[in-house]
Amino acid sequence: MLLYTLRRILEFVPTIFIALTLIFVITRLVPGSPITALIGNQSVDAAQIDAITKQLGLDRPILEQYLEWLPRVVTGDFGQSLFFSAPVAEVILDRFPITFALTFMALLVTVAVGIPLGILSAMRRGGILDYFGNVLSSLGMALPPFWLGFMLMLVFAVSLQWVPASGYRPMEFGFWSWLSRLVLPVLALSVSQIGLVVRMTRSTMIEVLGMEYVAMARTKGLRERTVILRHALRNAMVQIVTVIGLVFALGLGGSVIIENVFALPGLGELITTAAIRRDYPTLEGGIFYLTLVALVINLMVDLAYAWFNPRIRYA
Amino acid sequence: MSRQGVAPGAGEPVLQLEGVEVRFPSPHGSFAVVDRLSLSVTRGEILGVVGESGCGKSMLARSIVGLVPPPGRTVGGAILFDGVDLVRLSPDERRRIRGDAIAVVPQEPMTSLNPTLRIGDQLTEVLRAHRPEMSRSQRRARALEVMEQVGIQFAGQRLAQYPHELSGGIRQRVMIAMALICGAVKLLIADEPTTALDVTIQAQILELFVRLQSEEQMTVILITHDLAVVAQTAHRVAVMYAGCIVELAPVLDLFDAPLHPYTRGLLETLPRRGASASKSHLATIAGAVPDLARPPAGCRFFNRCPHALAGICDAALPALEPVADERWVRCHRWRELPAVAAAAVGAAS
Ligand code: SF4
Repeated sequence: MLLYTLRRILEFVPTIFIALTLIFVITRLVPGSPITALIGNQSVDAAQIDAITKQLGLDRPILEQYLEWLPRVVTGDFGQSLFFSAPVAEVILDRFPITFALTFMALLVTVAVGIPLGILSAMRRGGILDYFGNVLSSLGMALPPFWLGFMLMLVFAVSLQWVPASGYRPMEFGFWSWLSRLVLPVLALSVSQIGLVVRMTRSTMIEVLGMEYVAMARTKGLRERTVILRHALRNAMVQIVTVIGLVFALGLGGSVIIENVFALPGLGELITTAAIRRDYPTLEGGIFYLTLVALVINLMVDLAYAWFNPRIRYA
Repeated sequence: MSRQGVAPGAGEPVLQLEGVEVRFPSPHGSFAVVDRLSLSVTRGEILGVVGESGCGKSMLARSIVGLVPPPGRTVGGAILFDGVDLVRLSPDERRRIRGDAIAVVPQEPMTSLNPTLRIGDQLTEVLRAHRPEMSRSQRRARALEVMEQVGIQFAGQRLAQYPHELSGGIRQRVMIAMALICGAVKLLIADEPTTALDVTIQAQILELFVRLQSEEQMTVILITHDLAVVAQTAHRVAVMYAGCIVELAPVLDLFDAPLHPYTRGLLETLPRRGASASKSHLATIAGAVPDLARPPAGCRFFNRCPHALAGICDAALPALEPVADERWVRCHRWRELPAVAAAAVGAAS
């Protein structure tokens, strides 16, 4: 298991390299220059533009820029933000906890609701619960999260006024004041994820429940709870874990939209504004951190996968 | 293999099936895969249950342990185990018997073992279910003991291994150890226990069954499609066809003088020792089992029987008649058949 973990971590290196290169190329392919965005409506002359361009290193050949950029970036140094007069890493670390709280809580809700609902649907196939689970998951997957976000906001924040509509407050101002501003975004994000998890859990559980070792577990006189949790779910988890990883990755993407809807100053919101302002260093750093999180999630999924599936571990 | 000393059919019954019926629903109404079957299994015997796949022998086994896969159901009859009707017990009472007093050895040890759990966990969980008073170390000790009994070497190491790390023969020994681990098994149902194994391993496993049967003084129901397996191990044989027993006889009598045309057909499919290579191909009985959703009014073997007589055989379902001591057959024409068969052989040569 340790060897397996080390090997998986080693496989990170090329992936990170490719990710960084892609980030560099894509941000530079985006039309528009940071200079015009930086200057805005101020009237400046060509000499000033030249000076800024030089200062940012934008006048040099792209390959040269890349070779200078890559070794620096690998150490986590994305330079100064063009807009926030602070290092990119600092800006990102400021925003990251918000995105993390949002996606992680959404994942918790998704797992806590989706897996039990999927198991029960599989056990009572064709029953009322299965029917509800099916309707709910179809609906959840069909509704776009941003629309759902607005609807939740309308009902719970505007009409019922149970929670604030948008914005963010750090936990220092009180736990409830922090949580109340996250409840709706978490809900909006998790509803669509729950649908996916319910479906996957249901179908893998149905498959696993038909396996001979499940029949054998019953033949041995084990209690039904043991049969389901120890024999069936354990095997189904191999596949469910993969979906959970996928859901988290999707959640990171979804958080970009949700953060904008609810005006949460997270990483997603940062990336969006950085893209609009052509704030290259911030944009690159933001995307890179998201990529890194996705990679770490991937690693965790792989390790969980191996933990649930001994045949992988020894391969 | 010593099978002397056990008088087949003598002694008290440990299991009595009385009119057991297992039904499955279908678009054309339900059909019986086990049709009002009655059978008595004597304490200490090895009873072979033989038939082609789909004859209902596996469903019979599942009915005995109370695990007919839904939507199928045991709808009628009584299953008396040590005098207690299992059909009337609550699900939890039946669960307590499974794996303890009645154990099953499955056909496919590979797919019947959970790939994600260690061998040791899969063995000891039987004790956890049936002997909750045992401690962890007691369970482990018992697992080692029973693994030794079924001839598994390096038992301590095996406990920590996963199913895919073991050979087919060892896996089947693990399944047998699992059946014995509670130490109270009275009835062992082995459902095609050697079908998935290669020939040499097959012989070893069968030998093990015979040895354990006398060691543990248990009763064994050995379900198989292979008469050769039965010849090596069983005391008595029940031949099943389309949900019914068609012939029931002590094993030697059955091989010496099969009475039912289906039994003869099965015997003819066995490769004969000494047969030349060109003749040693496996014969099969032509035709297929009738549609159980619409069972024929007469003999169920009618469409495949070489001796079928219209007007007699298809008129009514023959009854399972006593023929001689311990011999039963379900055929309208069993009295005439030895002569008919002899004539056929004479005509052919
Ligand atoms: S009853 Fe007739 S058809 Fe049936 S097995 Fe006997 S001879 Fe054949």
